[in-house]
Amino acid sequence: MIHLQPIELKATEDTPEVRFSAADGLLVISGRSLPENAWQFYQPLIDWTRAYCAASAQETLLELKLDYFNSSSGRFLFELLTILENRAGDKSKVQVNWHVDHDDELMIEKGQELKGLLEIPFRIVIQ
Amino acid sequence: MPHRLKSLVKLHYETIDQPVVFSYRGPFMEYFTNTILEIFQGSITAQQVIPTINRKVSFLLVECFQNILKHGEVVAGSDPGFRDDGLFSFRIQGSSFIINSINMVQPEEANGLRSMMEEINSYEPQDLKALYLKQLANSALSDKGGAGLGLIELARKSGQQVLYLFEDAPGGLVFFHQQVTFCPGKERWEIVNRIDEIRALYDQMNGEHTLLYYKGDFSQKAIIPILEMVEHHMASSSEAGAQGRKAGHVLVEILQNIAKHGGDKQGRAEGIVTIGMYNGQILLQAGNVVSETEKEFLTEKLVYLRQLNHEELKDLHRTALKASLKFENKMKSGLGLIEIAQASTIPFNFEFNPSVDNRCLFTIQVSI
Repeated sequence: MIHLQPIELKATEDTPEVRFSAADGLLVISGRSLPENAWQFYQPLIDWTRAYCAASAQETLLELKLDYFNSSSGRFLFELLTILENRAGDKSKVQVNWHVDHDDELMIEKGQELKGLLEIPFRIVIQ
Repeated sequence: MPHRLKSLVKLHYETIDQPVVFSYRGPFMEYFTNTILEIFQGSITAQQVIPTINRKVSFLLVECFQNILKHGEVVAGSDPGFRDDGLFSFRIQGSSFIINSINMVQPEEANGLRSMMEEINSYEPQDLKALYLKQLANSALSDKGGAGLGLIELARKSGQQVLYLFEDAPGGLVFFHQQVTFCPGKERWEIVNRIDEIRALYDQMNGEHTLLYYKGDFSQKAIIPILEMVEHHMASSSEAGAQGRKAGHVLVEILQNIAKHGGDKQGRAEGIVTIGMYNGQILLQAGNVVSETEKEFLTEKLVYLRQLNHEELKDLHRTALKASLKFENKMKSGLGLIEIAQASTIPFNFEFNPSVDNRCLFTIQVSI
């Protein structure tokens, strides 16, 4: 158990809802992510994830339920995933679930791309 | 798929003295009242519009749009999912705010409207309040509500005559063209009648199945309501949800790319975009003014992307995504144009045309 303040952000018209809890080992990002300045939005999440991974090797679940995201958000989502991938300890303790609608080819393809680039358990959950 | 960048280029040149232009060719829904206001607010982020004028223009926009909602007749279009409700448009030219609309009404309603417009326009601005109060007191409200109160308010708040024209429309209906002009600080100055120009735009948008045309600041404040308008339109039409989502994704990429690369000397990102539907395909066109250096960069990148197939684009995106983590500038990922190329069902088109100050107009067309 580590003492990292949880992050809880409500969705806005162009940023997703975020719930990161170190206590639960649960990281959730859901909604759509279209900020003009993705760096501003994602850097605190990336810093948090880095601190979390440095301090803990506990079982971690990342739930991604994105309707869609712009290309600059994609870059930061990938960075966040690589931090989880590179953390010390047993990689199998990290699980990524990529939730996507069955008819959403674009998001299925994006999930497949990320899965192919990462060496962590990555499940595409088709609804 | 027709190559229509010429139309976009023409629109750009025709409106060169108008920093903001918005035209929407139905369907009209209550839901869009607020969206149109948001687009207006987003479109003027680079303009210096003082709050009192902003409030007045917002009032006029709502009143004009809701008049169409209340009184407009809907005609089934020849193309399924693209019914014809008319056109709603606003623009800024000099210090004037100009709101034009075209909608169809029943002949008997046209007669009532005509006499009401004649009466309103015969009054001096200072006497309109009395007419408003008289009309309010009489309030033999028509079954659609209003009894011309909305029209009186348009004349009162704009301080100008409301221009109008009636013309025969299909199906025994009548086209009602209306123009409300607001020029802050000026009383009854000579109004430029744009009704013919707007009719030509309406015909062009009809002929090319264009849903929406926007020219103005590509701030996030303008991009989000345009996106919502397109999404709402797709969701309510017969188009598949997935195609609509993909169109939304590409729209955001194109508009944000323009916002990033197209800034002028003052750092404003102004551009032009049209969204249309043709034979089940969604057609996005966008343009902005870029420098010679940007032209070279874009030409090299787009010529390369255009000749890659789906698999090659996938490989390139994967490589670019990995490489983006090493970029010092975290604001640039290099992924946007690749994603636009990936989403286009046929190879995209682009061209450059001369513009002012040794800059050029860059335009791109993507089909989804």
